[in-house]
Amino acid sequence: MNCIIIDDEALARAIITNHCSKQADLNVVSEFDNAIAAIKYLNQERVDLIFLDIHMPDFTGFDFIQTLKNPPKIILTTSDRNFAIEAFEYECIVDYLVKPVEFPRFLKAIQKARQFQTISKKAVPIDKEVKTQTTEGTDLYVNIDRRLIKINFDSILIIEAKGDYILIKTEGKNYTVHSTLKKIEEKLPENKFLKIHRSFVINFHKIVDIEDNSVLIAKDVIPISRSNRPILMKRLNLL
Amino acid sequence: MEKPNLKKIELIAGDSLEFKEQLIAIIKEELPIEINLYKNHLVDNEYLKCAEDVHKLKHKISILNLDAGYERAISYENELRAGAPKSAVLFDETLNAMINFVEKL
Repeated sequence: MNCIIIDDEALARAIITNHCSKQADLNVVSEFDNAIAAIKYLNQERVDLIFLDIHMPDFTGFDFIQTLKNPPKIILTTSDRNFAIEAFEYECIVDYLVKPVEFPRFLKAIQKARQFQTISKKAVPIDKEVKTQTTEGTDLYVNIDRRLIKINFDSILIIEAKGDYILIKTEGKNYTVHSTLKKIEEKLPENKFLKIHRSFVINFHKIVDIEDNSVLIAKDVIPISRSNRPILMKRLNLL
Repeated sequence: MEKPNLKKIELIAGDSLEFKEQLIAIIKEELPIEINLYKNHLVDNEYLKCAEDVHKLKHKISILNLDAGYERAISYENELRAGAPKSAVLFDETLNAMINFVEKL
């Protein structure tokens, strides 16, 4: 089995690597100290097993799993002896190991991985949330002061919730409309727009850059919520 | 008060002296960095970041075989997440014991 290890601690990676080296059928092909680098790798390469630290800064193990369309088998690692079993909501997760990982316990997890049936279902709960509704046309009409104003989808940068109103920022002008983010989301083409925070929907194609937990669109820095970050990362064409 | 020791590292390394030495070298490198990060966050009253730091330090606490220190770290991490870090001084004792031990290895 080709494996990768994702853990921000060198100590944890060294222990797993050493344990793997004692098993003839385990081949550690790469190690990563952050999940983003691993996502890039997995866009190019296929592996059979991932040792995944649940608790990493910025991007948790569960965030990571949600970015994978067809996840391989995953063994979680954690520093929590009282680990909560959210893990087993994901069919790809074979077992979890408490750090520091002792060899006999490691072997048990590997045995489970060997016996694990091929995953037939995707383990990506996010897919359930993806809207199937599509929006035809290229424009949206909004009611402002009893006038229906046409806004081209491609001109929209950001839509921000502001109480009972939404602020639609376009390349030329800003519009304050009496509506909700939820209502406008239903009218927007999902290949262009993405909700990245409870108060913000962005035009995905207008992103200038992404840094930590925010995106830059035109001159606005928009926060990315923890729960929406995996959806955003999944949409990125990462090199 | 309990003292750090190498029993768990030796258990994990098994017969491999080379691997034992590799683990010790990594701990010597990573531990001061992790402690400094935690202390800087504490000075800035960044309690959630401190909680993340403490969470990460739990692995080192555990591998140096400090069971009471580990339990203390769990409580302290919870205190930090709640924004009321009452056990900072006690936690410092664990950190000091670890760093003193590791420096002598």
